Amino acid sequence: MRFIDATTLEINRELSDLDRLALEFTTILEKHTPYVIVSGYVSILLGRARASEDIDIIIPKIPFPTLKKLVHDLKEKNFSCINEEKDSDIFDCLTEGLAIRFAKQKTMIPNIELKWAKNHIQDLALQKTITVILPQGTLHISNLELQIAFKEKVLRSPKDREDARHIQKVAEGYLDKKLLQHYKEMLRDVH
Amino acid sequence: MTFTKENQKERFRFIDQWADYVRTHSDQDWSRQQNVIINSCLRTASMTKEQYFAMKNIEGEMKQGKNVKKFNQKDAVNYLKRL
Repeated sequence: MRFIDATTLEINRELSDLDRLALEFTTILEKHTPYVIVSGYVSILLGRARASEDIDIIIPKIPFPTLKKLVHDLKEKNFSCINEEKDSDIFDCLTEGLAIRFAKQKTMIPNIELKWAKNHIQDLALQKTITVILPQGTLHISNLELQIAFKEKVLRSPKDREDARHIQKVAEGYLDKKLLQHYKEMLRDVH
Repeated sequence: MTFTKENQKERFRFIDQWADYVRTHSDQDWSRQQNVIINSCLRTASMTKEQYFAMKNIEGEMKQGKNVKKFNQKDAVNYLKRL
């Protein structure tokens, strides 16, 4: 794992089934919208010794025609939405602030949980991304300081605290401590 | 120290050890070991749509602090049968 600069990380890892799914999905997604991967998969990508059945992705609000094209392109690559079938229902879900899930056809696990940014913290995650260079492509993940603070101060489950600790340990020496503290203070009020 | 606290301390200790391993070994080395967990979990976790959403519902209730015991796939199936 090589921290090239504040916004670029190179991981020459053997790809897992989750990594392959993330790369395949985001290759299609990024043709239509910016995105950021958040939560558990970020720590797994950085080596955390656990699995997850989903990958959480945040995108900005997109108009219906863009969503329709995105869903069409995903279907062409054998992805299907597992909560809704019609494009209009998928769009309604997102508009209501709910997440939609995509998996490869005839499977449920692993899947991608996709949602629109609906608060300033998610907007911030979209603005401050880290590009992760993998052997077969690149992924955009959330800023690590924000991930650690969010897991410690908002989510706070044992699993999230462990994720935060793992990221903090593997990125030791590369994290901006002042920024981390700033995010922790900002998020303390959210909770 | 309670069992829960002792258990958490042990878990943190292992997380620190593993993070240290990740930092000091090649990406190929640690990821090969990590993939044993990830790929085997995903390949054995075969669920129907209904089972999956039942599991997610239980997870949601747990996050809201409701008294739902920790589940696994078998619990999700049993939970569905009770609906």
